[in-house]
Amino acid sequence: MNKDMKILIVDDFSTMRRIIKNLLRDLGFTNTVEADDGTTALPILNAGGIDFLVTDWNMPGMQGIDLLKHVRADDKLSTMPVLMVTAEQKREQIIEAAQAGVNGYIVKPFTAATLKEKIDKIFERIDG
Amino acid sequence: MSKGIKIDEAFIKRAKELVTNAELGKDEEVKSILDELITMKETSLFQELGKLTRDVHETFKAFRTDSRITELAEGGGMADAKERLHYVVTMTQQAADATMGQIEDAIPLCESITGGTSELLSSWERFTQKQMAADEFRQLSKTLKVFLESANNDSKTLMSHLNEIMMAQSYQDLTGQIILKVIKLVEDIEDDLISLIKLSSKHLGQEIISDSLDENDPLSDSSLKKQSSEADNKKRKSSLDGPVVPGLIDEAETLAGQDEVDDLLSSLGF
Repeated sequence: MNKDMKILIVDDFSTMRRIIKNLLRDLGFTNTVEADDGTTALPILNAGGIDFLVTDWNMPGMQGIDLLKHVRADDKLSTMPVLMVTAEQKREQIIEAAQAGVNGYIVKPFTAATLKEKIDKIFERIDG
Repeated sequence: MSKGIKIDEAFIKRAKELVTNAELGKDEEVKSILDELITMKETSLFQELGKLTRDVHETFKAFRTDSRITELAEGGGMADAKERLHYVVTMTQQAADATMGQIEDAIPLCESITGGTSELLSSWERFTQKQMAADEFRQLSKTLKVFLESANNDSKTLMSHLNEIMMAQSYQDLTGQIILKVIKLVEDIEDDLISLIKLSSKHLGQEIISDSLDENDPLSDSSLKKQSSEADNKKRKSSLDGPVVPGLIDEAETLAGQDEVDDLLSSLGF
């Protein structure tokens, strides 16, 4: 796992973006950028250079699930690992995210250990 | 014109006769005509009153049978909003308690580091000025080692307290989502009340009210339609449940936490 990879954090609540950013820094990932919903995330993704996407689901404008579908449908972005960090924990929603091709799913509130575990798992699969 | 009496030809004729008879001093006739006029007035008044009573009755009946009123009063809406806000109070309280607890645990560690460094600084000062005997220096180097070890541990513990304080702030996201749901609910209730006001004004036979309203008026037809379609859009958008509020979850459909989410995903081949 490359610690210098560029990570895009998408959440409409700035407190949550800061928490994720700080947790990632603790894990050694210092190269992060932020967006507050799918609509503002898309131009950043399209500009290129993002290696990993961490997104909330429920956001104004474009929601996380639509952002994920967009990423999977775009040839240039389709292989990007996506971790969803959300308060949505209905069975059908988790299935929808899985079918849309999410790589990991964390429900809020979560712990630093959970975030580490899911990121490790995602990159173990990719690297292995 | 007074609503209580109908001034028609018959009335004017009798009124003129009243004046004529009064001028002639015919008391009996005056009294009889006066009685007749009063009866005319009362009949008209009772008719008006009867109509008004019927209108009010019809309106109340419409209010009672309008399912939205019952929904507002008994339905999930208000009860849900109260549940949600209570949960917000609980969550903010927990976050504040957690934060204060971590801070209170962190303060003694800071104090210990500050106390140790102050003491060592003054000893170190004397050493650099060559005011320290060899024995005392050997003691200082032992003290220094003990301090560095404990400061190393203390700062690690401090770091974990800071992390816990940071994690406790996630309440802002979760309560924020819950409060936004309540705001949405209040907006829906507002829309429903506006529809009801519109309904009741029709029952009172005051169509003129709605006729005179324009697009921008919340009571006008087109404005109402616009609002309800906006509300429909919002409803579609907010079909997401958001943070789990105890007492408001569909247990069959909602997973209990990260472990159950992990189980479901692994059953799907993740």
